[in-house]
Formats: sequence, C-alpha cells, structure tokens
Amino acid sequence: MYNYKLLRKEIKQNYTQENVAEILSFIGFEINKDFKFKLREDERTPSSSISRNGLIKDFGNGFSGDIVSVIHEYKDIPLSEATIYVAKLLNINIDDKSFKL
Amino acid sequence: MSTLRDMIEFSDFRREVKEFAVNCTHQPSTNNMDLNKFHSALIKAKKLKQYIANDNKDEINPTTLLYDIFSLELLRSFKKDLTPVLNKYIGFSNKYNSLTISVFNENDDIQTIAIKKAFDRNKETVKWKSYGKKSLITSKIKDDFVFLAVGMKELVLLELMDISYVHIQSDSMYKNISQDLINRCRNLIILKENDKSFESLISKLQEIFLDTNIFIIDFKKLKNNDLPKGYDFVDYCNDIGDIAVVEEELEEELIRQTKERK
Repeated sequence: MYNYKLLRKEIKQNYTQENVAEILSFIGFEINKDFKFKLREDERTPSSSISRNGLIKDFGNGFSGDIVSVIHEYKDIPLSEATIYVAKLLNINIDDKSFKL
Repeated sequence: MSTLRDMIEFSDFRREVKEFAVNCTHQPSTNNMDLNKFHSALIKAKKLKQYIANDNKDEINPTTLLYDIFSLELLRSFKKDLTPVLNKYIGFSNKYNSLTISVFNENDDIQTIAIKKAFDRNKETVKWKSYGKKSLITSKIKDDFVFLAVGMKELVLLELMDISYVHIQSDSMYKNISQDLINRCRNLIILKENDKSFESLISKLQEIFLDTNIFIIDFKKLKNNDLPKGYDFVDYCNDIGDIAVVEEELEEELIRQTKERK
C-alpha cells in the first residue's frame, strides 16, 4: 500500500513542461510546439495548455489539474493506478519507504 | 476502462521521438526554408503519428495512407525490407494530415518536398504541393535500361524496385535533362501515362534522346483494355499486385519491342 498523497506531491515537484508533454504524447495526445493540445475529441482547435510547471488547463471546459488527473479523468484509470504510472514514467522510486504505508 | 501504453515502451519512445514530441507539428515558414530540417521533421512526424495511431484507431494512420498510394498486396509482393526506402522518402505533414515525398539530389540533400494532399487559402485541395526545386532532375543509372519516371510516387516505386531511372517531377521539366544524362542512357523505357500531355512529352523526349533506344510501355496495350485518364505505372502495379509479375511483363514487352525493330 502506498501513501498516494505523498507520492502525488513528489510527482508534482518533478513536473516540467517538457516531461509532461512527453508523457501526454506517449499516451496518445498530440502536443504542438506551443505546448497546446486537444484534451477532448470534439475540439476543432487545441484548448488545453501545459503550463511551465507542468500543470494542465483546458480553457474550453475549465478542467485544471495535472497529468495524473488527466489520466484518471480522460483515460478512465483509477487515481491510484494513474499515480503509480506517472511516478514510474518520471523515474520516481515508488518503493522508497517514505511512500509506503 | 481504458488501458495505457506499457511503460516499458517509454524509454524507446523518448529515445526515438523525444526531441520531436513537442516540435513535430511545427510547420516552418516557407520563406528561406531549410528543406533538410523540414524533411527531418516530416520523417519524425510520421513515426510519432504511427505511434499514436497504433494505440488509437480513430487517429489518421500514415501506413493506411501509404496503402492509398501503393497497395498492401503490392508492397508485400516485394519480399524484402522496404522500410529503408519508405523511411527515407516518405514523411507526414501534421498541418495537412497527408503523406509527403522528398526528392534528393546527388549529394543526398533535399531539393524538393511534395505534400500529397494539401489545401490552399480557399480550402481547395492542392495535389502534390511542393517546396523547393521543381526543376531538379534526379537519376540513378546502374545499367543500360533506364526507366523514365514522371511524378512523385513513381520516384518512390522505382526506388523500391531498385532499377535505373531518370526522374522528372512534371512533364514540362524534361527540358532540364542534361546532355550528359542523355548520353548515359543507352535504352530509355518510358512508362506511358494515359493522358494527352504525356503523349506530347513522348514526342519531345524522342527529339532529345536521339541516339537512345526508346521503348514506350503502353499500359492500354499490356492490359488490352481502355484505361481511365491519368492511369499510370503506379496504377498498373497496384492492379497487378505483384512486383515480380510486373517485372516479367515489362521484360516480355521490351523483348517483344526489340524483336519488332529487327
């Protein structure tokens, strides 16, 4: 069992605009040179943006969160699983005792 | 519930497309464009688009677009690895969601990039919108039988076949064929497209290739059938669906025409 809250905090400290863009590309989103992309399939033009600290905002529907939230809400993955997935992609050692309950 | 890509693939993904994951959709300005950079971006864009399409069937798939040019049946019939040629010549434009073909000069620098299906400011379709030098004549002469290729997809097909060719990007560019190149062509095989402008091109080529044996492959005669306007060598190969059969039929036709001349 993991301390997901602490793990999520560690993940957020590791975000950069570039690594969040990489992960989003990896899971199937197309990111343009301005770090903008379409979060929703019905969009004609990209409404979502990755900020310099790696957070994501959709100016079309008001969604605001990080990539863990995106995976949870848009890829329909449980939050705990999304947290572990992103942590591993960011090379965070989830087996560190500080993240274990 | 959706599934995510296996994270084991992430390091490969990063290695191959990392630098283009953000920049691959960038369409550089056509003013003073660096064609080599543009070409690299298009090739990487194709790889990334393929990654995305492999996981999402709703995405445009570059491989599916390729089969619109060369049928899957035809490509499979080559029985060799086609990826070096396809990865060298064919890219993907995210701006137009279309495949692109690049033309290289003798120094392997990019001279022309053509986008198969673009659109203009009025949203009208533009076929083979090109950047760079349309007047470039490329050639690969390694034996006495040289095929004349006109058009972008023909160039890729002749490269896949690994045969000698002279390539012009459009009919009117025949004037740029140098005398040196003409002298190197002992036998010129013209793959005749079914349209009037091509017939006019044949007449002009006969005027400049004076000392060359010219063979005209007329697909109407080979197929013994009326053909649609614009029917070309790529259409013929796709119809046959087997490159070995195409090569046999071409060879037989060349032998037949040679005997007729004697």
